[in-house]
Amino acid sequence: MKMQRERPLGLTFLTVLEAVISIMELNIGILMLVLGNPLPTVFPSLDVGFISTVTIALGILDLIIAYYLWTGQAFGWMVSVAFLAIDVIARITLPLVYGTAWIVFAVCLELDIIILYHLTKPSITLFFGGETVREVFERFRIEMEPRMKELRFTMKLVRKSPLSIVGAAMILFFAIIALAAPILAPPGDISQGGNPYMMPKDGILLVPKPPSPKHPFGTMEGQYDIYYGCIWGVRTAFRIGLYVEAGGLAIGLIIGILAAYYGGWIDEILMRFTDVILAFPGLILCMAFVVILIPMGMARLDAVMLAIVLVGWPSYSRVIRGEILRIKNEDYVEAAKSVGCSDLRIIVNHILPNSIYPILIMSTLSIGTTILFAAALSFLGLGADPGTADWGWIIALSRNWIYGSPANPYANWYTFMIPGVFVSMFVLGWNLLGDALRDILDPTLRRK
Amino acid sequence: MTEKLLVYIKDLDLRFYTYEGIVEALDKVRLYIKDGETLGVVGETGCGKSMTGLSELRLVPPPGRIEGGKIFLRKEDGKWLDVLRQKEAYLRTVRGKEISMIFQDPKSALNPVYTVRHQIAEAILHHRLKELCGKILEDCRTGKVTLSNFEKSMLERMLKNPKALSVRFASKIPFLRSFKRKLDDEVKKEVIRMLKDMRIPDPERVAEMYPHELSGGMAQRVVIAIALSCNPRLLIADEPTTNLDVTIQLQILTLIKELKKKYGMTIQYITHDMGIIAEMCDRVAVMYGGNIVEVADVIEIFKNPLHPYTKALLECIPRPGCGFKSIEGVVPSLINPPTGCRFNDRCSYAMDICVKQKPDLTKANENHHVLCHLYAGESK
Amino acid sequence: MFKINLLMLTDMGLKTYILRRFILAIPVLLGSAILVFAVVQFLPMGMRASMYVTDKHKPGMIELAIKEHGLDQPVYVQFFYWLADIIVRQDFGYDRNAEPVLSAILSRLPATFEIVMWASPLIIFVGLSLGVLSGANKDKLVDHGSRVLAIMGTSLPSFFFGIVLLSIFFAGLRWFPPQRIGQEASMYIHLSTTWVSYTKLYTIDSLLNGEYWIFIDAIRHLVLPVTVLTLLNSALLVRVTRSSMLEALGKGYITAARAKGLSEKEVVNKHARRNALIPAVTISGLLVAGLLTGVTITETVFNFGGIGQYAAESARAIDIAPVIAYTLLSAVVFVISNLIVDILYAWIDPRIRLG
Repeated sequence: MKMQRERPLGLTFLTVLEAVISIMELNIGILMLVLGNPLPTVFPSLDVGFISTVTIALGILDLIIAYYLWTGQAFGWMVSVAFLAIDVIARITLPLVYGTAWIVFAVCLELDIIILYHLTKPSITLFFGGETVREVFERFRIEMEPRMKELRFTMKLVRKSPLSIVGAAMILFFAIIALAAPILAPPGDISQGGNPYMMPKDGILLVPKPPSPKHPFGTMEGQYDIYYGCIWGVRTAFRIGLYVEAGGLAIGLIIGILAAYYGGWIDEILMRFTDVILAFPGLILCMAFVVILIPMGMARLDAVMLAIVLVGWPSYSRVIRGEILRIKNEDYVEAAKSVGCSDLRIIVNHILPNSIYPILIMSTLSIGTTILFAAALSFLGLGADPGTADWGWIIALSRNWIYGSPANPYANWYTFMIPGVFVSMFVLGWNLLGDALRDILDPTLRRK
Repeated sequence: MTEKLLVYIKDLDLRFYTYEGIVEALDKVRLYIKDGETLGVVGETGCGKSMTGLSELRLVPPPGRIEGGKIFLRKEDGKWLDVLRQKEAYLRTVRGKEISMIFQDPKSALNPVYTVRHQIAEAILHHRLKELCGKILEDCRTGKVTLSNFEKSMLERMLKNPKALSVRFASKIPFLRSFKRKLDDEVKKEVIRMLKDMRIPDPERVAEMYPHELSGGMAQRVVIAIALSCNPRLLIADEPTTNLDVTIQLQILTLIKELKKKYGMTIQYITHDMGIIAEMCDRVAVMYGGNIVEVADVIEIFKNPLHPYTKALLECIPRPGCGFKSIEGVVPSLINPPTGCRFNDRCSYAMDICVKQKPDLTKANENHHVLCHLYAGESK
Repeated sequence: MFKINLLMLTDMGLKTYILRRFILAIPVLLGSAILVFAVVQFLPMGMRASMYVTDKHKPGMIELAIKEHGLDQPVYVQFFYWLADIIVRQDFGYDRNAEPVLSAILSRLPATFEIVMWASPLIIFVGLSLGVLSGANKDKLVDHGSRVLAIMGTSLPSFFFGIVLLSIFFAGLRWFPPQRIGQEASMYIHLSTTWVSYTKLYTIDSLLNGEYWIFIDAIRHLVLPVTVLTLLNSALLVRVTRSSMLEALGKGYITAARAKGLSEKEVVNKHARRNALIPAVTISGLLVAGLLTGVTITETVFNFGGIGQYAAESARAIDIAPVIAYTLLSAVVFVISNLIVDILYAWIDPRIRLG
């Protein structure tokens, strides 16, 4: 029943379009990062770094979707649909917040095509391919049947574990806060200069003030508004988490895959190198890196992020290398080779889908540790510059006031409780999500 | 039935409650095992033969639940015992002592962190503690062994109540636990004796080995040693040779036959291999899809198979000169089992009634019962 | 791994395994030293030299340090100078207070050791027993409770938890004070003529000296830091032990043990538990890393006066010498503890010794 898939012209057209758009986005993102944003924006609080990162990320997503259009497979159907969902959501929400003109344009153009293709795949095949409607629908349904069953099973597992929903909800909640930060805590009227991440000061008194209508969470030493700090701190946390994650993943995966692919003495050397880095407790090596990077002239927050990346990537290398080696030796890979599968096909169809799950789980869990590290470093005085909206720094500053006054020892609870709860809930959300993902996606644990 | 029965399984229903649905693993299974015989239970994978064995010990793993039926075991004194209705504590005295079970994969049935001796000793100490205590005390009286007064009193106390606080306390203190050592020596002698019975060479050395150091055949002998260490009346053997090399298979089978004669056991041999049935068994029960479809003496089964499934099974045995035969179709899913006879969609003799109604177990000949509409209407 | 070893040593006993692990640890130690050295090299020469001088503003001191420690030599020569400094002369440089780093660390070591000494057994006990209980009683109350605790343990920042505890139990209730010892006891220890410092650990010394009030005081000061460390570090242990317990309970020998007639309690305790604890042993190495990390933050929060706090304060002041020394020390401790864990593992699980 296996028919040779004729590549309809329309499919090729879509793939090329997708690839072009992705290259465009990658270029604009990189340019933005280097030169700053040249386009008009709705909010003066534009964070160039954030937008450019998102643009680059969308560019990569589009590249993956283009690959999917081209080959009909990339990391499995489920993951590519997930990417599509992220893509769509990002394209809808970002323009609302940042209002950059060309993204809106891209949304309109692309959204239509993508949705058209994925949700009515039969219609495209029909339009460009020339089969009857019934045949196409039937083929689509049969192809998707086992995947739909798996998806339904996954959904059932998700529903059965309430913690996963709680975790995802928490992350979503924080994401909304992060995106809506300029609305929730407008930086315009009380900000100092151009950087919205600096917390506003309302006076110069050193003594913290309890919550009031003007300062909903109170103020800390030096009259920084805690509310502002916490809200924009969510953004800082996401920035740190996602940047460091991306960096660590990128380096870790590349080195791990290289080591597993080449084997031999390259493998030995790379693995010894990761061993050496892993021979240090994380935070301590981080401290050492930061202490060296700052005198070298790097900005503090950047130094912290680079340090965490440098400390974090070896874990990914070990895991991906271990997974690839394990899968290479599995029987089904040998079986695939024996029927003549090309190396690329084996990598994409067998090795990647099976090795991705531990990485996915690891990365969700490690966002939590990254944030804890960053907060700890901020607390120790090594993190963000004083005055930046960073939870760790707020708690650090509260140290002098935790004893309150002799009359009321809990007087200054808001200086550390509120930012502390923010940190804990944020990390908790990621941990719950990671845990739940592990229970749901790990093939050995799926079927109890 | 003039011979004595040892086990009688009546209308056993077993269901597994899974995500995909309720699996009707055993459906009104009816079976008896005579004292001293070797009963073979044969069938494809998934037909429920292993589950029958586990049910007899009430060890069915969740999400399985025994939903109905009775399993009777005849005790030494002749009285019948309903296994399914007993308290767990009582059942634990039955497991390993009255009924023992050996499993398919010997390596995984042994705990990798304990030595062979420890694992055999565990079974012995669990069931035969009082007997061994008595033996040591007897030896002391006859002068074969000398015991201090303290040791003697400890052992006597152990005889009366093994879980007594004084006994448990004393066995932990270094100076006071010498009585334990005497007991361990006695157990060790038993262990070596068992290993010798299993025809294991150099039993002293093997006793101190760990499971991963043993070969497959050796491991299976150890498992059998554990099972037989307390002289059970029934041995349930769940495909013990399936995972072994063919040459080792023969050794194990010979060993089992020899041990049966020596220990006078009844054996319930579960397998999918008709050859082993022919070699080992006195009577055969054929299972399909959770039902017993045919029961007869072994010679009768091979000479005169009545149930279409049995006939097809026998035809499938490869013979030189004939091509390979197989049974058309696949085993039905037991989640929504087909109404009527479960074999009806693969049966070449299927009639209208086979789809609608499930047949009853009818007696076709002397000692020969079939679950098939073809023979219904004959005397029950 | 070194494949040659596997071929040659086919019959491995415990001793050969230990030797093999020992030999393998050396390159890792060397590599860590190289890494630290390489990282320091990024700093300009002047800055590196100032690590070794007590007063960097004094003219000529920097040049002297450069000559003495070979900082103008090519990189590989510098490495040996550096190693020689550390191993032969025990010279880690001077901190910002012109105190030799080594002596600063050594004087603060007892404090850290005291915390670790009290926390480790607690962590192991709580982690392992909760994990085993949790695995044996899956989905019951114990299981859910310990899982909640475990999740909380990995999500709470240690400094936040420490501050909250301080606020409640010190500011509010006045039960458990920060720092290492009260003022009265401190004066007694340092000034009294009858006090003998056997171990420099206040808890042990106070018992040996018969001064029980000091013992109580020291314990009171230890409660909060040890609680913080225990909660945060046992979480991981509980999780790992629980999952390995669940895995062990699914194995064939469990059914076989039940078929022998053993009670559920015996099955869990004698068969499942021992197999389940084996993987838990392996992550104890990680726990040591967690302790070292945790100690850094916890000591700072509670102003305990140990080496962790020393390193953290030095880092804050961008004082490089102590941080580098602390980093090296942590690596050595970590590598050695992993070595011990590997040996323990081989001792417990007979399958590992064959390589």
